[in-house]
Amino acid sequence: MSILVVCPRFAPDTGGIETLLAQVLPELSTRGLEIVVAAGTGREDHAPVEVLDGIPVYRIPFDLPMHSAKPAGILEAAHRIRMIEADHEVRIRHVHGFGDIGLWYALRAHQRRPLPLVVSVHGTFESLGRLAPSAEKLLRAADVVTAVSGPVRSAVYEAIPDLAAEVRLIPNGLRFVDTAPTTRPVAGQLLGVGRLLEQKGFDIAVEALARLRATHPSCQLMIAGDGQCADAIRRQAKRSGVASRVHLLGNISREDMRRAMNDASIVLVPSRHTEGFSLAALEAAHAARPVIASGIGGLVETVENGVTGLLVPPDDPGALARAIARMLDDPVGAAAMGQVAHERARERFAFERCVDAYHGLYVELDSPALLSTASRV
Amino acid sequence: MPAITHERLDDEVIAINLETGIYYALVGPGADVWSCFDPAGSVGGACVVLAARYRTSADEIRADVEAFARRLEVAGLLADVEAPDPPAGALPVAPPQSGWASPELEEYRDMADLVLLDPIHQVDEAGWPHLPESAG
Repeated sequence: MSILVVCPRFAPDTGGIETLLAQVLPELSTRGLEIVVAAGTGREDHAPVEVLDGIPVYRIPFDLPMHSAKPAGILEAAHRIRMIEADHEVRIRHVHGFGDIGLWYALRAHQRRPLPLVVSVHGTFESLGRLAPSAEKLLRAADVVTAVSGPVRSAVYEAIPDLAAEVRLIPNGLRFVDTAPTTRPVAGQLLGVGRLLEQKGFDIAVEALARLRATHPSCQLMIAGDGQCADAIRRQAKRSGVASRVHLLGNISREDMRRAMNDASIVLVPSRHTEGFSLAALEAAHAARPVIASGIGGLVETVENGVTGLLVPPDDPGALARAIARMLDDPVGAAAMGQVAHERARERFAFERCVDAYHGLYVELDSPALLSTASRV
Repeated sequence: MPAITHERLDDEVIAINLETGIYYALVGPGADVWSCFDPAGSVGGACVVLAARYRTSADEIRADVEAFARRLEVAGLLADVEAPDPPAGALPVAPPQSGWASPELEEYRDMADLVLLDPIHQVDEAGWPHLPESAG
């Protein structure tokens, strides 16, 4: 059985969906499924096609011809998807993420040749204000919609109350690192992980750090990830007098990420919106580190307030600063929260359960009875 | 007549109305009708060419072609001009992938929204975190 996965970007690009798929897809492949990826090109200089962990990955410039209104480029991208599907005898399409124009190509492919369709929603639509009609059409065309958390599932039903497809909850899971963290956290070291975009709210973390300058002078903020806002964050840190205490690490390897998590005493997820789950929070739990996160979207499930971390209102640097101070002033309590997070993550966000859920879904959709229903849109 | 940019690949045409930002997709018979009118053509001429291509009669498909031409006109993709009957535009040599069916025009009015989904369009020159006014 061959499955085409359409996603905004793919490893080695970084991001939540990229991290999830980089682990889940090779595992599905070992279970006898042929997985093929059609990913946007991102900003890196990727080869048009390469094999990563046994998965053929086709990089398709989804966005550039669309941005520049070039019909030839749009047609070529759509044509490439058709050729990939023909070459690999694809029987199921699976679209991950709603933050990219790749969804339009998936919709076009479905309109031209309906196949069983899975749409996995990873965010809660806030940044869009409303659902774009093409996104709604794609959701309506899906045989099954999956959501990475309860709030995401609610957001789907809220956006399309009469959605015919079932919305299944498949929480993200990452491969658990067997070895428990052995290093002690560096006192006062805060870590933020994610793309440096406005929605991730790292400017709020910088502002919170500035507010802690007098009371917690040794506090440092490390930020792993890259993005268009890097320079703005540097400028803000300089303006706020904390330039020497804000360290932008850029995109780092998985190994360096584990090291950064182990070094951190607190992991911050100060997102403004669209946080459907937060793999950064899950990775923090793997490393037994407590999280302070915005109490929005899927974060309210990934982080248990007062148990595995603290939730604060979004876009509120004062509240974030107070929560950081509370944890820094109670290192024993913070460490205990990290430990509970570690144990609960093993139960609630098990990697095998996540892989099993996607695998089961494909097997179900590939049954002849369901194949005959693939005719919506 | 608004500025239209368009291209054909195999049996598919993408046309973009640059003034409205609406994207259109035409496939199979729709793409062939489009090609018959590119750069100019008449309904009568198109029916003759299309009938030969789809191994049917011009009378059989005339109503479909007329309706589709009107649809293209309403969308601003086709303009009615006074001119001597021009020859139909060239069609691909490759045979059609399916038989004749009423042509369809897929319309996508949300491309501007979709483009805005891409974070690289979320900041203006003042820099992050200030969203450009148009994104609000």
